[in-house]
Amino acid sequence: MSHGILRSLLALGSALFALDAGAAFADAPTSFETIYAAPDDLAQNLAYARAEAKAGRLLNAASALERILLLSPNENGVRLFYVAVLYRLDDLQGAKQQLDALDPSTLTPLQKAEADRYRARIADERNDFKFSGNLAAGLAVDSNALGPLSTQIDLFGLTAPKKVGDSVVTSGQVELIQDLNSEGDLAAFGSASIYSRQSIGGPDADYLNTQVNLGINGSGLKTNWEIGAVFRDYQLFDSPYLAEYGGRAAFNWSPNTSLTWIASFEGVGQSFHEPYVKQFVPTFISGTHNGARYDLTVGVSYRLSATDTFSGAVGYEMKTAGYSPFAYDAPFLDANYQTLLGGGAYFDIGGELRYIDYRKFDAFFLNVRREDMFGTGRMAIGAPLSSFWAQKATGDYRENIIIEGAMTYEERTSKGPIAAYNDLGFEMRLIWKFGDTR
Amino acid sequence: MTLIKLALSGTAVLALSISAAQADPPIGTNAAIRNSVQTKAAADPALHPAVVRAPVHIGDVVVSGDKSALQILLVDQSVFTVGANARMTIDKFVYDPNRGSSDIAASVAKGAFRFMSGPTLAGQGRNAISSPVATIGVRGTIVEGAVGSDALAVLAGQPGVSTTGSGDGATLIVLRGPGHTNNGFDKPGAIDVTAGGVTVSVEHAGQAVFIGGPGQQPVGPFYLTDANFLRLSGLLRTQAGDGGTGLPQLGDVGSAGVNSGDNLDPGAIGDSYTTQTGSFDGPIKVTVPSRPVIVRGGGGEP
Repeated sequence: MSHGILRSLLALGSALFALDAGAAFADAPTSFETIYAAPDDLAQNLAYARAEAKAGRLLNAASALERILLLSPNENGVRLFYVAVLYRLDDLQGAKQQLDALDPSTLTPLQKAEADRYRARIADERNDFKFSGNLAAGLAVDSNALGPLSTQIDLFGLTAPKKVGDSVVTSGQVELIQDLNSEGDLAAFGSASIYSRQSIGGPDADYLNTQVNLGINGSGLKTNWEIGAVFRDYQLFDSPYLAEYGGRAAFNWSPNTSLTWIASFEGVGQSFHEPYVKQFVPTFISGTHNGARYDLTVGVSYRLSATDTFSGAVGYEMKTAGYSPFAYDAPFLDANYQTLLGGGAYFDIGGELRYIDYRKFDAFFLNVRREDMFGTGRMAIGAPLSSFWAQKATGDYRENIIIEGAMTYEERTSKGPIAAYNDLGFEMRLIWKFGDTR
Repeated sequence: MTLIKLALSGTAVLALSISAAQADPPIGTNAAIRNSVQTKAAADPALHPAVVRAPVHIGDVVVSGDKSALQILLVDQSVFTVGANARMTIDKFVYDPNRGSSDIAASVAKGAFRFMSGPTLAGQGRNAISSPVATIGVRGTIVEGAVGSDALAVLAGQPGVSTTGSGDGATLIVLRGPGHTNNGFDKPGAIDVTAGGVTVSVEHAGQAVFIGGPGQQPVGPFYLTDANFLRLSGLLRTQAGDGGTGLPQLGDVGSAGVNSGDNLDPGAIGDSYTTQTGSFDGPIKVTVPSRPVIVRGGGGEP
């Protein structure tokens, strides 16, 4: 199965980068000077609007489309484009009115499908209650299926043997938002997600995690914030392993339209299910892994262009534990780069480095004060099914179904008797987005 | 063309006043005209039919008829649309491409208008638009409105807003965007409306403010109903089925324009399919759960 997934990944990547190259040659730049000299040239205005919309300069795009529609009101395709620009400008009332203005027109089947799609999106967004989510399913292969999980179970320096494993990956997420005022800048939210891997070949490496968030969020011209409760449950090898429950707060500040500073804090209690450890309590050790975990992260997100975004963050994690050698401090560094390839396709690469410094000498299990270096990386490329059609759009369910291929790498080194491991994984999956996905 | 090249190359600064208008270079051009629109220079005694591509100067007066509109494209990329039944004068325009700043002041005596600021106006347009009863400071935005009888007609039946007793110059102002969650590079819109000694700030797309007459304070902000917005939009925009101006049709632009996917996918900018499950998730972003899933604090028995 591993060769099949790898071949599929390569084919997907080649196809999407070919789409991007085609899009780059399709758009001939039209300058503002050209438009200023001939503002009544409909074709030049349309080319200018396309280029400006693609670059994220939506006001310029809107003004060019308004010129066309003043001069030639029956350009239905242009009016639909204008709807899309107004929607992106967050002028939902204006976008709806322009859709209504198209009602008496005869549209092509694709235009009608797109108009219906926008009408539904606008109606969803103007509603005080919003619902969105995604479901995903796929196949994965790992060169060291037990490696990542062995982080959780390595006692006395034992590490699982390196074996290739195949698994079925499924996940789902739903998010509910209820506006709390008419401006829509204060809302209550709730979200739930689940992620599962079930082994179908190689060693049993099943795991399952679920997460629930509840809280309120707010936004201003340059800021947004959220505060709420978080609950997580992890199961390894089909058995309960860890429950986390606590709170999380986050604050974002965008001094301009390219730059966003991000700060977040999370504090959770941890309750482990580990009967093997517990049987030594209190005879040999004073407690278990149970304790609390605190995470402070400060980061930045910078939009290099309308299609390219870089994010980076530094953080500090602190864990307490009943058995103090299990407590640690862990500074970490995250980085992520995402680029959009046109037609909804994307390429994403990111990773994290985390240094875990255990606080005390472990005289019972390992006979060492443990220090770990943990690294992860993921590279993904994906696209909606619609991007494989000639017009890169279908106006239907194919725009909500994404095929994604990903490669992951995980590695841990450790001081002391704990063996290092690494794992290279490949994954192909289909993702279905539903609801208001903006 | 010569002016725009000169201005954009950074060698010219337009800092003009109405008194010096006659010798001034153009500050913009008539970009699109619909039905009956007339203009005149400050010194002209009479109005003349507006002509597409004709230059626009400081002090020019625009007068439009029923179902008529003129879009003026300014050299700083700002756009002023004069809608139906309007009378508008450009009082001031300053553009310094070296500093990347511009400022504008226009007065609307009656009728409908729409203004989209250029990229250099942000923070500068403190008194961008004035009506007989209010001034509108623009902090980078799309703003539209109506003055006089059109304002009263638009507001008919608007919940919570009474037009009884409204006088000359009654003014309706609507902030249209860009909204907080717009996914372009345009600054989120905000305006400050001053009337009767009171200033009201509007920072949410779709919110409106009404001033009933001279000396009266602003009412709002409030959201225009869809029916009332339709009336305002009808003064500024065309509808499918309206007669054309004889220009050749563009044909089916959907295949390369609307259907490009970049336009269709409003989440194209800012969508998050990243592996991170915590740090970068804003309150409204979409995140698809994915590996790696890191269980922190482990080290025990499964």
